[in-house]
Amino acid sequence: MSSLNSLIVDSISRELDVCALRHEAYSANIANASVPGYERLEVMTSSPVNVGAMPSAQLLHTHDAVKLDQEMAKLSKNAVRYETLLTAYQQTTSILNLAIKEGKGA
Amino acid sequence: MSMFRVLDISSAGLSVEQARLEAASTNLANANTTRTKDGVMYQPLAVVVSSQAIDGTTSLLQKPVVTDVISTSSEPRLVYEPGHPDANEKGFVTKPGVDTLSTMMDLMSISRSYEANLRVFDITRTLLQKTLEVGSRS
Amino acid sequence: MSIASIAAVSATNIAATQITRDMAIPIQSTNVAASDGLFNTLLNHLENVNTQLVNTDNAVQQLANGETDNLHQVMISLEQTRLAFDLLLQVRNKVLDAYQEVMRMQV
Repeated sequence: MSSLNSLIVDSISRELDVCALRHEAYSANIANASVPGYERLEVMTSSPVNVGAMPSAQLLHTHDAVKLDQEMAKLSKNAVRYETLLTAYQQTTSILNLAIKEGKGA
Repeated sequence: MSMFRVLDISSAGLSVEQARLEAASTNLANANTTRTKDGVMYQPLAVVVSSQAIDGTTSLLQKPVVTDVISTSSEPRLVYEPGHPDANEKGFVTKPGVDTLSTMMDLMSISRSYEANLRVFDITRTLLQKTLEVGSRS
Repeated sequence: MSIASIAAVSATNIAATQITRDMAIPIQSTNVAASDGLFNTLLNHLENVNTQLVNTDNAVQQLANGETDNLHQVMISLEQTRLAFDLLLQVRNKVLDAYQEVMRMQV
């Protein structure tokens, strides 16, 4: 992505991908909670086998029904994690921005 | 699948809960209707909901859709009311087979589901707005 | 004017031309040596920034077409590209300032 602080930005970006996918899964679970026979979706992250490869995340059906309050709790926790990642990214980048602008103005 | 489609899924959930709410409240309102305008017994309504894939994607994510609103064929109840104009010779009036108690419980769960979907919608919107703010403050 | 002095003058001329030529070549080669450090880095960064700009442009185009998967990727990409371009701009300003200062120097 970037040549400047690409390591941290790439890992934050990957984590954000996983968080976004989880949000989609939990939202769909909550919406389909009253559908009879619906199995809830979960996001599984697989650790890379080879060193240096990127971890991948994918949706899969678990054979459980949706428990509404648990699903809401998971969704909220994931949402906080998403916002945390965004804030971490913004702060990291603003430090870099300071360096580039040498502390003067916008 | 983008986060915008999540808004679609949540609003589909809201629509489904609204349909269930209408059916449940109609059943409750007509719990004592001995005769509809066609002259037949009122049959409780039930909403058939199923999960459908989102148009144009092969993802596992599905949205709930009301596929049908049907009249159930539940057994009518017999209530002893001798003075009722519709009473039979033994004094029993046939009333719609609406289980009032379980319909009330359904209303509670419908309400919870509706609120849950509403909160999900709100949270999604907040997350999207926060995402858009990335890079706006130098 | 004797033939010897004419010969001496032309020899001096030739020598002067030769010296000038000799001086010119080392200056060029020092430029090449210097560009291994500064200019190559700048050129590499310029290429990186260009690639980033093209990629970000594509990402925004996908967003406009509604076929994007990740909004956050697009936003992050936008900001990183802007930062990289900003850095390029600042470096270019500094290099220009340095050049102008050198040109202002009294010989």
